[in-house]
Order: sequence, then structure tokens, then C-alpha cells
Amino acid sequence: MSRLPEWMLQSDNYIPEKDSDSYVKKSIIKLLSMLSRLRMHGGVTFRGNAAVRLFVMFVFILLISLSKNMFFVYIMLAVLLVRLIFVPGKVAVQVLAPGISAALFSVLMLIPSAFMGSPKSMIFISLKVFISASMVNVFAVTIPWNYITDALKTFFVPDIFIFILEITLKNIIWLGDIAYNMLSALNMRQIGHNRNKSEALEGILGTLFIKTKESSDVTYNAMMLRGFTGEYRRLRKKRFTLTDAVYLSVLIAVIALFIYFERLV
Amino acid sequence: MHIPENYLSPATCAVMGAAMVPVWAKSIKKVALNIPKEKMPLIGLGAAFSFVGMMFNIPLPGGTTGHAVGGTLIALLLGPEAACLAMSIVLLIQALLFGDGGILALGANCFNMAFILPFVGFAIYKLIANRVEGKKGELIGAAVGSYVGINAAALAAAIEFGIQPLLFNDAAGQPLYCPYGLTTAIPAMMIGHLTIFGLAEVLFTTVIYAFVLKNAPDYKVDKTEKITKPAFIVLAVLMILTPIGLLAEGTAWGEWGVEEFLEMIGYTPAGMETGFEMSTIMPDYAIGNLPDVAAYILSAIIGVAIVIILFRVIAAFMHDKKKYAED
Repeated sequence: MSRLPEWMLQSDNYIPEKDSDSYVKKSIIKLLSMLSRLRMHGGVTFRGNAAVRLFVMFVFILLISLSKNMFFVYIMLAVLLVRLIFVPGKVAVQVLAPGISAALFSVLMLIPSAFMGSPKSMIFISLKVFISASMVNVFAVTIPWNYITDALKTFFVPDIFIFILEITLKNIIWLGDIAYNMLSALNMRQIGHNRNKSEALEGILGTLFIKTKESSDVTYNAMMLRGFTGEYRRLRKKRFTLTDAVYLSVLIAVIALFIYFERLV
Repeated sequence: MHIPENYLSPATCAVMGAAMVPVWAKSIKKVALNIPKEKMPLIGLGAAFSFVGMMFNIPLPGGTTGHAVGGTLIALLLGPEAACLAMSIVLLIQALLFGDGGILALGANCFNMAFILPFVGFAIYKLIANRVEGKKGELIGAAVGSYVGINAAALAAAIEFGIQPLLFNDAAGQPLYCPYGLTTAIPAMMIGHLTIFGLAEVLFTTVIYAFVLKNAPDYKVDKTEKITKPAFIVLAVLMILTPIGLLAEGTAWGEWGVEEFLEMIGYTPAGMETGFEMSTIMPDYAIGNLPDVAAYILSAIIGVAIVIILFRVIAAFMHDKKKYAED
């Protein structure tokens, strides 16, 4: 039996050079949180009129932004919180977490202004940021995106915009998965000091773009095969539920309160 | 650079949104005319690509990292008008589904990142690439274009922030929206973009553009294409409109006296004199002839709602743990 060569018997004491590869890990975390947020939409069931919800959300945010009255802003906070009573705890977290972080960021940005003599602005603006961000989140978390494109069609958004939006949304997950796989591979295989980080990045993002281009050709062929010309027709029947009616009546009440309180300022 | 809700007044948002309407209309027209039908899905895919690209942390010299917007790159690969549509869609998705950037501020964000950024970036790229021969010219053009593009967009955002305290204050003179004037907003925005974010944008653009030139040489940009004019018309209109807004307040653009300047942005440090008071949280408690009862009722609604939500959140986590243990 032949003996193992000498070099194989020696113990290896390779210590990889330290390197700051946080850009890979940070990118992976960002991608994963984005993907999980979009995937969550698959399981949402929605019965109602997305156009009504979009309209109500838009008017609420507009009124909050227009308001000069703190009391009115507190009324909107109450409206938001009462709405959140009707969602499961997990959904409430998904809505409130980004809202709170947006508000905290806002406070951080505005701390200097408080010492420049406008402490009221800091609290006023940050509270408005929290309510607006959370209201958008309620909309985003409770309504699947195919209903959102449906709502945009109601507001006469041109077909070309809806077409681009649909293709974008459908491909973000696909491209995100590819990017995640490539980043994970890079993360696992990258040992020691990587002197040429931009080359690694070039490979990943460049390949991602080439795949994007290839997919565009495939998408076009698939469209042609199915006789789709990029024109959208509404097939889903327009629904109007009791919840939509509640939304609209709250909207009317809020507008009335807004007029009443703004007169007092 | 995404401007959140409530930092710009609805009036500013409306002006910026109105400024985007002709840009979008022209872009749609130009895209429908110039881009062959089989290339149409590429705009959506380009938008998806830039959305995913924005998630990447770009490693910068010195161990720091930064995010890129990628507006110039999309303009180089698809043309500035298609880039405008793609970036607008990206910004819409970010605002609507991810809460990045406000819904009302969407017009302003599109103006900065879907209009100024790709159009300025592409114009600079063309200027250089048409004068410097070969691949070198292309890449230098892409680098300089993306750097100038992102900084032009940041400057536009800074000006939008900076004019808020000049135009919108409440009766007590406290700013209603972004409280920082031009003298604070411009350096605050520009320092980051002239350094970290500018560099991240240059790296992002040149690295991917070089890869595409090397591996998909059939992917050529039409350098002879003319830039649409409404870009500059809109800018001119805005530049005229802003001073008019100020004139209505009784002061002319750029002709403020020392006292006026103090009055507008140099607030007397009342906050420092009195410190923070709880009354700042509910200053309008006893407003007009509003009965105290209203405030109590509102506090009760908010309080009860918070308690219920809190219990639901706790219950959601408790339920999960139980299920996990059973498995």
C-alpha cells in the first residue's frame, strides 16, 4: 500500500485574512425582507373595492398633510388605530413597525430644528409621518397587488403604465430570487480578502441584467402566443361591500371634521 | 433621496406632480413611437431590475457601503424616456407597497429621480461619449453622467425641502413642513451625495455598463437621439413659479433683508428658553369653543385601540410559540 505524500500529512494552519464583506450580507438581508414582503401578498384574500380603498387612503393622507390642527391629526390617529383593531396581530405588526421606524427617523432628522425654536414642528411632522406611513401600509398589506392595478385602471391610468407595472411586479420576485442565489453563492465561496469586490458585483448585477433582457424576449413571445397586445380589459366584476360603505362614511365624517377644525385655526 | 410624506406641502407636491404630467405624456408618446413592440416588456423588466439593484449595498473604498438609484444606467440601457417610465413605476411600487417615499410626494420624487436624474445623466453621457472615442468614452461618459445626474437630483430635492419654511408656516411662525431652509437643506443633502451616494452611483453604473458592453455588444445605445425639450421648459416654469409664490407673501425672491431672513429661517430660540413642554404634544386641546369632552372622548378611543392592538400583537406571538412547541 502506498503511503500518503508528506504534504498531505502536514497540518494546515491557514487563517483567512479579515475582510469587510458586510456589503454581501447587507444586500442579502435587504433582498430577503423585500421578497418576503412581496410573497406575503400571495396569501391575502380581499373582498371589496380596491379603488374605493385607494381613494379613501389618498384623501386621508392629503387631509393629514394639509392639516394645521393637532387635534385633527389626533382624530386621524384614532381612525388608524380603530382600523387596526380589525386586523390580526401579525398584520398590525407589519403595519406599525415600518410606521414607527419612519416616525423615529423623522424625529432624528428634526431634533436640530427643535433646538432652533420649533419643537412643535418636530412632534407635529413626525406624528403625521407615522399616521400617513401606517395608512399606506394598511392599504399595502391588506390588498393584493392585482387589485391595486385594477384600482389604477379605474382612475384612468394609461394601459402602458399598468402594463409596465404588472411586468415589473411579476419579475421583481423572479429577479430577486436569482440575485439572492448569486449573493449566497458569493457569500459562501468568498474566503479571505477579496481585493476586487467590484468585479464580484459586476458579475452578479451584469448577469442579472442579461437575464432581464432574455426574459423580456421570452415575455414578448409568450404575449404574442396568447394574443395579448398590452391592452387591459376589466373582467372582474365591480364589487361594493359593506366595508367599502363604512370606509366612505368614515371619509365623509373625516372631511367634515377637517373643515370644522381648520376653521378654528 | 426618497422624500417622505409631510416634508413637502401638498401645494409643492401638486406643482411637482403637475410638472411631471407633460414629461410622462411626452415619454409615453416617444416610447410608443421609438421602441419596437417586442422591446416593450423590457421597460417593465428594466424597472424590476433597477428595483432589485437598489437593494444592493455597493462596497466603497474604505469599507463603507452605499445604495445606488441607477437612473442613469437605465437611461443608458433603455433611453431616457423609457427610463423615466421605468423609474416612475419603481417609485410608485416603493411608495405604495413599501412605504419608501410619500404618496403625495410621488410627483416630487418622480421629478427628481425619474426625470432630472435619467435625463441629466443621459445628456452628460452623450456629451462625453460623442467626443471621446471608443469604450473609454462610453465608460467615462457613464461615470460622469451618473455622478452629475444623482447630484442634480439631490440638489432638486434639497431645493424642494429648502423652500418649505419660506412658504409654509402656521400662525405662530412655526414651520408646517420641512423646517430646514435652503442654507441647511442644500449642504445636508449635497454632502452625502457628492461623496458616498455619488460614488455608489458611479460604481453601480460603470460596473454594469462595462459588463453589458463586454458581454452583450449588440446592446447599443443610440447616441444620436435628441433629448426632449419639455425637460428644460418645465425647469424654467418652476424657476419662475417659485419666486411668484414668495412675492405673494410680500417678499421678493433673493431680496430678503437681514430681519426678514431671521424671521423666515433663523427662528428665535423660544424652544431653548422654555424647553420641552407636554403642551407641545396637545397644544390645540382647548381650541376655540370646543368642549373638553371631545378631547377626552378622542383620548379614550386612542387609548382603548392601543390596548386592543397590543393584546392582539402579543396574542399573535403567543399563538405562534404554542404551535411551534406542539410540532
